[in-house]
Amino acid sequence: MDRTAKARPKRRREKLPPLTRAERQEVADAMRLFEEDTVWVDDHYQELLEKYPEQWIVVKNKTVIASDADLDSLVARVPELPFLCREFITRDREEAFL
Amino acid sequence: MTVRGLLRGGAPYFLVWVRTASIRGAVWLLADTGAPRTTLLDTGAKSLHIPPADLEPAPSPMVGIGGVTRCSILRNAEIRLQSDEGDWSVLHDLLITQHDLQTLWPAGRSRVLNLPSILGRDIIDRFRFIYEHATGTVLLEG
Repeated sequence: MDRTAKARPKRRREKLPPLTRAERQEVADAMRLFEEDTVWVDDHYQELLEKYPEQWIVVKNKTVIASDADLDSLVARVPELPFLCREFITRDREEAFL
Repeated sequence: MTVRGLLRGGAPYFLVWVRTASIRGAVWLLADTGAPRTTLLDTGAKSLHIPPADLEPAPSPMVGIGGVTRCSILRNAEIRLQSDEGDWSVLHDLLITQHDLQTLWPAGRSRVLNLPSILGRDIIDRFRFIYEHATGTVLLEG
């Protein structure tokens, strides 16, 4: 028997308040922009590869606003990262990853 | 309702919004009918700024073709998709898989960080999944 697991205190589940209509619209807008920036990255991948090889980039409104070889550094530098398109630009993009 | 995905590098992806009491943000998920659980991998988890304190150890590690990784659970996460007729959301216990990056060589670390997060059957099964490579069609219909 896993005594450690049994002794672990149960976490209290915080109730997640539903989004308001305005917040839902904000999320929809943010996701649409995120997707548009992703499509822009896919369409300009070769150009980006020349400028940012083996680097992470952050894209906002079809413009690269930050780049770094280290993801942790980018996470620390760009607080709005969760809402923005981020991609690792690599020559091995289509390499199998199974 | 129809959720439109995107063919990226020849693979079907869906953009999801993840929200908990402490985080929110978007992440692309690779639609993988071979994966039973929707799972955020290293980059997805880092990019969403998930606080380690929000993660609960999973009962067992995750086993994949690449080996065994440690696994956590992000309880009560809201997964939101945008459809043609509005949004769709569900509260979900999301799996988080993180590799021990310090033990990897630099090229290996980059490759692991480039792994996509996964949309598994626990979400896909709620819809009809349509994927046609020739026409670039990637849909979830419900």
